[in-house]
Amino acid sequence: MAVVRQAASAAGLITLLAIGLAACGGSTAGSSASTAPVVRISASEYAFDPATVDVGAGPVTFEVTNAGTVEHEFEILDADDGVVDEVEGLVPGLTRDLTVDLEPGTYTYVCRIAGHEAAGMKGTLTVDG
Amino acid sequence: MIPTYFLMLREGLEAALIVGIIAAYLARIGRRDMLPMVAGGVAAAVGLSVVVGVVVVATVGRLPVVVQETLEGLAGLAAVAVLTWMLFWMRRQGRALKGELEHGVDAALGAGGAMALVALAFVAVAREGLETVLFLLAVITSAGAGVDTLIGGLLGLATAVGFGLAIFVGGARVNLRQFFTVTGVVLIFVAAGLLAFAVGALGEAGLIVNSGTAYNLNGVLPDSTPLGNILRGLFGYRSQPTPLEVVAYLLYLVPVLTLFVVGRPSLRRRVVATG
Repeated sequence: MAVVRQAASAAGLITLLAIGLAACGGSTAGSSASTAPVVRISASEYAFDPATVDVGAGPVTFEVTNAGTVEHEFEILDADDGVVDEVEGLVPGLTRDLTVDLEPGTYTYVCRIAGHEAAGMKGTLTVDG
Repeated sequence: MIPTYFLMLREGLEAALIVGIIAAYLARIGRRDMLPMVAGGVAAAVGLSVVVGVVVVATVGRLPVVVQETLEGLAGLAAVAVLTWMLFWMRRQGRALKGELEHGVDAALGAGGAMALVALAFVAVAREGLETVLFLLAVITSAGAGVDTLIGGLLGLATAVGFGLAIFVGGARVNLRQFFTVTGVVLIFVAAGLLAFAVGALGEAGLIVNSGTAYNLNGVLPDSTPLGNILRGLFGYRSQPTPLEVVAYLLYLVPVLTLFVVGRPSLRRRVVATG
């Protein structure tokens, strides 16, 4: 029984931690999502439409839809190929939102599923100051 | 439907494998009384994932990549640690066995061992649980994804659970020594894959530098194919891993496998035999 109690208290602790994390994120991401401009991106085999996006600095919401027939991803990379943010598990038909706060600069967006980027799933994102 | 099936199968296979082996192990050493506690660990992980998933969706909508990948990376490292401990603990129990005299290990499952098995079942499920719940909630709330998408996902999870049950049932039939050896070796590959996965997650979170390509097998066996998905779910197979991921995999696999297969006890036997 002690084991169950300990597991339960550990579970409680992780819940609190996760809710805390969610709450911290909520103050910024929540408010920005309501005012952020929306960019719709369609992913299919093997391209993003559009392949070039131009937005102003600040929060932007990407509405990424998988219009293809296999799983895709949408990953925004900075100039050093560091992951800015991403949407994974985009199965056919699914639309998932991604709100990011972007600083001016040039970014790329890619699909990191095996071979997809090399086959052409790559776009350029320009953020103006 | 099919892509969702394999996505969810991939997410669920590893947890099903680990929990299936734990349950089979407990049944083999005559500790079926522990099974409800393991089930409790699994239920706690599922419940926690659902609660956190719903809270996240209701408040921020999604987790920023840094938070999600950091959580996944740390959970992966925790799973590697507990799994490694369990491997060598199970191996000690296995060595203590005389042939099929399985009852010899009854007394050996102390409070610490029981705790670790329940904790491992919890970590294994919780690690993939949150991502799975967030994915299913997205499928349910997305207008474009039809019911068949949800059904495909649930069938994938059901297949994973069935795989875990098959291990539990099948584990009761094989020779106990074989069971220890085979599950041990399989779990070492799982743990090595978990470590490489943790490296990948911490890299995506930006906490470590993890870039480049060690080798590219996308033309041979892409990890997006059904077989690639299954190998990825179970053993962390990637068709285009980074050098750091390969190094992490080998740094774990080679020494642990060596220790496990030709470790101290056999050395001791050799000393006794020659002395």
